[in-house]
Amino acid sequence: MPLKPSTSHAKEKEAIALGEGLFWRRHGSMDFACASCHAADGQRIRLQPLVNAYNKEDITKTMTNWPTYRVSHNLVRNNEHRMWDCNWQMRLPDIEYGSDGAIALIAFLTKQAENGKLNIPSMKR
Amino acid sequence: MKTLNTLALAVTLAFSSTGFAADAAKDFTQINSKIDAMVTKSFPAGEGQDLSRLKQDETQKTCSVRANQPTGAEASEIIAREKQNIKYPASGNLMGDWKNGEKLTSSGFGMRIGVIAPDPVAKQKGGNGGNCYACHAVSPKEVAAGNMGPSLTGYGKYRGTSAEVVRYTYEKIYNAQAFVACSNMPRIGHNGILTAEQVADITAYLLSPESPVNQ
Repeated sequence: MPLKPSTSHAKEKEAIALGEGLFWRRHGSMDFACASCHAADGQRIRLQPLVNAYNKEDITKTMTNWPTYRVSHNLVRNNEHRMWDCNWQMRLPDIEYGSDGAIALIAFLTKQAENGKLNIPSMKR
Repeated sequence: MKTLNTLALAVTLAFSSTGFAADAAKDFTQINSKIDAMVTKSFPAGEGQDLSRLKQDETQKTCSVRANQPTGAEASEIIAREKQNIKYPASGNLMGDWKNGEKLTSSGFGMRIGVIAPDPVAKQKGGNGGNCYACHAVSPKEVAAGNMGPSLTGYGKYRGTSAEVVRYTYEKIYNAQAFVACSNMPRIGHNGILTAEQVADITAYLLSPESPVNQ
């Protein structure tokens, strides 16, 4: 099943645009945005490789296998959890599950991975 | 020759942008108030939350709407403002204790908040780390280093410890954007992640001839 984010409604288009804006929004004491780590190829935090949201192959590989079994958590996690986790690592307050911000981020990332084929069940670190 | 020059230019342009993000310069100025409103709605107030962290200063605002590609004028403005923000240890000594700097360089602890997984209170007493290894190679003994920033291995060996080098190193760690507008590096001293004295300790760790960084 391919990822086919709908853009037929104006609000859907807006969510993707706002999601990209939030992706680049720098805030908190670390001055981080999602883009600080996820907008260039070949980057690592320590030894952990980082996904580039603007590399079609890279982002497709990531977005097509949520929800996933996270070995480090011993649990199945969804993409909302990953959004929270990233914001928490950026030393921000908790982003609310199902909030406009979390949905807009996922909408943007799904758009970047458009037409990627769903590849579950999956396992990640 | 002209063809060759044109070709060289085309090749330069093709490789000058990072990865696949090679599309036109991004600009979120028009939708920024909507982004701010969305952020306000998406991070609810409550126990353990510090919503002040979502409030951007002028530098963060400019870098966000320009996707880290400020105009020349904006970049000059950021650099001028951030240079004024740099503070120094009361002692005036910018070369601190390299052994403490070593600990601060490898520790990534601190400042995680919220109700789901805040940093444990007991551990907070040890203070924040600088988390330098997340992005930089530093000591040759530590192989698990990130690559988002340049390698700092041998940093002092190649630069010496002149007053200018010490001052530059201290200031760069304290506030990276005093040199590079919209740098990805956190403004570690300015944002209060580390104290001025701790920044001086890391300066010593990078520069001291006795430090493992320079062995």
